[in-house]
Parts: sequence; structure tokens; C-alpha cells
Amino acid sequence: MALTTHHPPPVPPGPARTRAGRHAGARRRRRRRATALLYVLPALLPYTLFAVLPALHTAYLSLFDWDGVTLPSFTGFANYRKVFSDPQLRAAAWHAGALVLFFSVLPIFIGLVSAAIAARRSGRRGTAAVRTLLFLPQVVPLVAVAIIWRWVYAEDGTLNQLLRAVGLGRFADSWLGSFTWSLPAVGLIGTWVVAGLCMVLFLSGTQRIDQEIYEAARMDGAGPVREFWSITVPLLRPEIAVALSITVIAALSSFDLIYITTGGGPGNSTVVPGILIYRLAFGGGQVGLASALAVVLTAVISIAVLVINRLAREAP
Amino acid sequence: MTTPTPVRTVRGLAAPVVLTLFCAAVLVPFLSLLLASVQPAGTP
Repeated sequence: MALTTHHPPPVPPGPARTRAGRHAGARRRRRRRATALLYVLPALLPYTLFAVLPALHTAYLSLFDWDGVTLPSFTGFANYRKVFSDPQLRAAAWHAGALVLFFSVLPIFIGLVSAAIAARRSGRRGTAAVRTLLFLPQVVPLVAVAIIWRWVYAEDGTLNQLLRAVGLGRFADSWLGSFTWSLPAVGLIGTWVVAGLCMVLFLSGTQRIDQEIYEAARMDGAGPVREFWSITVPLLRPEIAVALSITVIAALSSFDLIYITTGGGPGNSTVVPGILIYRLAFGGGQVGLASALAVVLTAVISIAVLVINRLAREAP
Repeated sequence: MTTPTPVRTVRGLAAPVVLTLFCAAVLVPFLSLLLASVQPAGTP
């Protein structure tokens, strides 16, 4: 079989050649861009339809006073002014901030400690079981989690029974019905759910850390606590940033857990922006104000995630 | 020649104790669910 080789046609010398080459290059680039767009299209189309367009529509609705039924009337930025001045909305923002402590700070600390211990004990009997057990809350649907914890926190629930069993019955309370304890009680459910995820993230990070660093530290006389603060925590910075981003988003956008456990009550003591958006849009007939709050919440979450990632990159 | 028996110090026990506490905290709600599910209907 004869092989034929393809020779490119001779290119004319001088300015004509340069022009022809430029045209061919531009055509190639355009074709490559079109091919790339075609590859992205199956994901881009539904994302635009179901995420970008509804978000833009929400931003548009936030400029109107609308009850969801009658004709909307344009009010400009009045809804945004109300978001920043209404005391109930400000209280919801404070509650969301408090939830960050329970959804982010506590789980990250618990995750770091458990990951550090599990990494030191890797290969020993029971460590894999402990890892699986701590991750278990993450695989349970949040609705089921909320129902389980309602039983735990009930007047005759497990927590109060445990307190009575150890002679601390005077501390027994209706945890989800208390103005003082309902927010920490709901927050601790978040800690229970998220801590396992943080641990798994940090455990994968500890596999990356060179064991020689620990050995060198041990030779210098460092104990487990010193190793944790001086080696594990600084070297897990990228994982901590990821965990912080995920958990801060979970805290600020929390809805289902609070809706099922307390519904925002008692009074407004556990109201968070998510609950308020739902109440305003579907109960209060204030779709415009709810949309403005949703836009502000989205902006706050985006800024928080950007700041976390920037800090994680810039830290020495 | 005999090999020395490892002695478990209080410090050595700290890690297992912490892990056990975490596991207990995770398990309590599941056990409460289990207990609730074996109660006869109508029992508070």
C-alpha cells in the first residue's frame, strides 16, 4: 500500500502570507471557542435557565412592591432600605451570625481534634469505625435530623432524661421552647451534623502532611498538643478554608433545620434570613421585600466566601 | 531478654477518651430514635 503524505500548499511570500496566516489563525481560534462552548452548553443551559435567570428575576422583583397576586408597583430601592432598617430583619442577621459559631467554628475545632487523633491512631483497631460513626450524621437527611433532635430536646426527651438520671434534673428545660436556649439548641444540631464532614476533610488533608515533620517535632520534644497547634493546624490551612466556606454557607442559608425544629420561634428568637424570606414571600405577601432580603443574603454569602478564600491564599 | 510492657499513662488515655466522647455525642440521638421506634404506639 502506498502512503501519501499531505504537503501544505505553498504560501505566497510577503504581506499576503502574513494576512493569510492571520486569517487562518483567527478562524482556528473561533472554531476552537465554538467547540468549547458546545462542550459547556449541556451544563450551561440548565444552569442559566434554573439558576441565573431566577436569580436575575429575584433581583428584578426586589425593586417592586408586590403581594404575589395583584399588579406590582415600582418602588426602587425602598425594599433594600427596609432590609437594613427593620429591627426584625436585623435580628435575623444576628441569629445567622450566631449560627456561624455553631455551624463553622465549633465543627471545625471538633473536626481538627478528631482528625488529628484519628491520624495519629491510623491503622489501630476501631479507628475506621470511629471515622465512619462520626461521619454518619452527614448522610442522614436534614429533615430526619430535625425530627430526631426534636425528640432529644423534648420535655420528656433523651437530654432531660439523661440530666435527671445523673441528678441534674433542675437544669432540665424545654430546650426548643426556651427564649434563651432555643438558638444554641438549634445551633448544636448544626454542629452535630457538620463536624463529621469537617473531620473527613481534615483527615484527607493530614494524609498530605509529611510524617518526617512530626518526627522532627517529636525529636525536639514536642507533645501531641504542640504538634496539633504548630504542625497540623497551619498545614491544614487549605482544608480549613474549604470547610469554613461550606459551613459558613450552611449557617447563613440555613432554613430546613430551623423550620422543622422551631419554625423561627419561640417569638422570633430563632428567626434567620431563610425563614424570614419564606415568611415574607409566602405568608406576608411581601414578595418584593423577601426578594431584596434574598439578594442581600446572596451578596453577604458571596462576600464571606470570597474573603475566606482570599485570607486562606494570603496567609503565610 | 524480656520486652518492657507498655504502660498506659493518663496522657495516653486522653485521645481514646476524647474519641469515645465524640462517638457518644453522635450516637445519643440515634439511640433516642431507636428507643422511640420500639415504644408501643400511643406511649409518650
